[in-house]
Amino acid sequence: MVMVSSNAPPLGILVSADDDAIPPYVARARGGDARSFQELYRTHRRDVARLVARLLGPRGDADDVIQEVFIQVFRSLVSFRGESRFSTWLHRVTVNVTLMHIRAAKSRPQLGTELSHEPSAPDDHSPVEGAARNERMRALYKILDTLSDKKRAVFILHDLEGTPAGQVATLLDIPVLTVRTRLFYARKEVYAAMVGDPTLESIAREMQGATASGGDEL
Amino acid sequence: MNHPLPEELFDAARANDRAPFAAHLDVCAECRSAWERLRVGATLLDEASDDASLDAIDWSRIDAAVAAEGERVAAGIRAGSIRAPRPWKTYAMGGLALAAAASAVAYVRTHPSQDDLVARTDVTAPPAAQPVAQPSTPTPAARFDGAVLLAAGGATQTPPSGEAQRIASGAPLREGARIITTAVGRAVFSVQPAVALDVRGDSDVTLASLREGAATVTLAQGEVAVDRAGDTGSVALRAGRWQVGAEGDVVARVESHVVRVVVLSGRATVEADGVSQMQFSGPVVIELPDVGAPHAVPGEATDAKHVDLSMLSADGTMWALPPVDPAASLSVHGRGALPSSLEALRAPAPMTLQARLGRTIMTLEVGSGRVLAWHTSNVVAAAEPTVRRPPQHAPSAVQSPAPQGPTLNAMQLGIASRTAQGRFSHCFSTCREQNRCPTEMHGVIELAVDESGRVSLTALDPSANGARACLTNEVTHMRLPSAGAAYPFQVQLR
Repeated sequence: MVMVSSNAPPLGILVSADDDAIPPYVARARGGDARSFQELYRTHRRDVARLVARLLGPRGDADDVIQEVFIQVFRSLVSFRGESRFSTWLHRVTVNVTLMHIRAAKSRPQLGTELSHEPSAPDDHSPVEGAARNERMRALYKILDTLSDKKRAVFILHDLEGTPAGQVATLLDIPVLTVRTRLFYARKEVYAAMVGDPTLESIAREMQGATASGGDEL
Repeated sequence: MNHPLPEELFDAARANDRAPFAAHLDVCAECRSAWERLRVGATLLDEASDDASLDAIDWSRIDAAVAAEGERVAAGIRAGSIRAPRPWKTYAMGGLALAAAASAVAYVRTHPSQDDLVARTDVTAPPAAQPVAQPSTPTPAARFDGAVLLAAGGATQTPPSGEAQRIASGAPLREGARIITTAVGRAVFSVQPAVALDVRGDSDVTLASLREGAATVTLAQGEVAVDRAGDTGSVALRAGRWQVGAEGDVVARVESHVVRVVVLSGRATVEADGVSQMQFSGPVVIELPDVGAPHAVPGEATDAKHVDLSMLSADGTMWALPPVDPAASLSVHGRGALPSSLEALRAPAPMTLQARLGRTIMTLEVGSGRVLAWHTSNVVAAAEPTVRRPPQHAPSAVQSPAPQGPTLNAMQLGIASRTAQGRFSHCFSTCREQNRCPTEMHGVIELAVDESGRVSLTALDPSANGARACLTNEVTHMRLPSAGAAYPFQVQLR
């Protein structure tokens, strides 16, 4: 089966070919070498940031989460025993910390509906196009916020991030079939919510039209 | 004409790669139309996938904070104050209850709003996370011997140098003892003069330290509750890298990737790898993940399996009880429920136990001087014996629409529904009788059915978690109609 792929560059922490179970700088950091902690951070910070940003959406609090991810990674590094690839472990920590952050944010009182961070449109878009795009992103992530953590993670990793289902299963430590089941229900919920959203309704209608003529899945 | 599969078309549209189907799309107007519309949706996902949001990240602030943390942790490692935790999971793997899933508890009754949860949760951030010593075992002078207050369902204890013995024997529990309970087992014993430890079913617990004034308990699997009758005596619960200091009533359960702690009252202090993390004030539910920070989660901070222990005392007499049908519901007049598989309890004064089985009620006089025997005292009349009602919470099955897979016809769906009901109903009735499931259950059971009709459990609503072990066992013996390809199947709880 053809796997989903996105136009965005894939995550390095997912596809590094020379990804040892315990990279040398991790082994040195576990021994108390402060410089190796910095090497670990510099090596992985953009990959972690990309995943955090994608999981969070246009919230504007990615900085805090990225920082929290690395603090947790540093503190937990001594418990990493190399039973999985370091990149897989790092990715799991990233997903868990980000989902915790989202969960905590949901439980806090909401003072307003406006997002503090305005998603920036690519440079080749006109201001009008950029504003419309921002509206669509806001609307999409507002819908994703209504998904359960499990479905949200699978949907973003697979459909937005382009991670193959097998890798998603490894990262989330669940069977591939569960990935597909969650993905199915996540898509169903997302597209049902899109129909009720004025910003995304037209897109949803067109997609449903495709479903009707092309098959039973988006 | 072979049309591409919808998922193939979706994937190609998502990647904007028309080439694999170009020849077909040129001649098939239907697929060409679907392609164009799918591209509309793919554009939305493409937008969400672009990297523009990384530009707004303030790296200088993160760089500084992460560098400081790296220095701090590295110094802690070099100084020996930060070490790898013990591989507690391997202990659990070696236990007798290897395949048993940790029993779950449904925390029902109160439903605090999310805002209330935040308002009531007294969370204190760690002060700059200074490294501290590894969790140390308190070393008071005198050893404390735990007394068994209640035993049910085949709980055993294994002393550090001895053989396993049933807890119902009433032997004292001493430091180093390991307590293992069966799926229906339960053991309640004192770990301090006014503090009881309630070990629930499918659990594996070790009394790491049991001294006057302080106790440390390691939870490798399952669930325990700390029940405090006073303000003295500290109890620390260890699970994985976490240690929870209970200053009130607390329930802790080991789940697959998280330790779930329900702070019913008082405060709980949380440490990870010896580093102070947070303090929580109950009632609140907190999660302690394998990786990451502790956090409060929305949920009902109640204990559905709570047993009123006020009628028991370590100073009382241990009574071995005559067996009763394990399906019976046991209680003490006006004092709440007891485990159905009750074998022994320690009572300081006479009491009357009641067992209810269907329409039959039996009583047992404990400590009255009479020979212990169950006596039938009452038979409750059936309300409407002629009306055959469906069992409460009997699951109703619906097939989930498959992504592109087969659908079941009405006959197959009927068979599947009846099969699911037949297999699952007893799980829920037993679960409720044993107080492992709440009265109200809702949501769905998600199943995956393979090409040959074999079934696996993929998701379960939290309200039915108490029945997970039974359901997992049932699906291994279950066959649903084969539809030639895998399909998801949903069972609705109501």
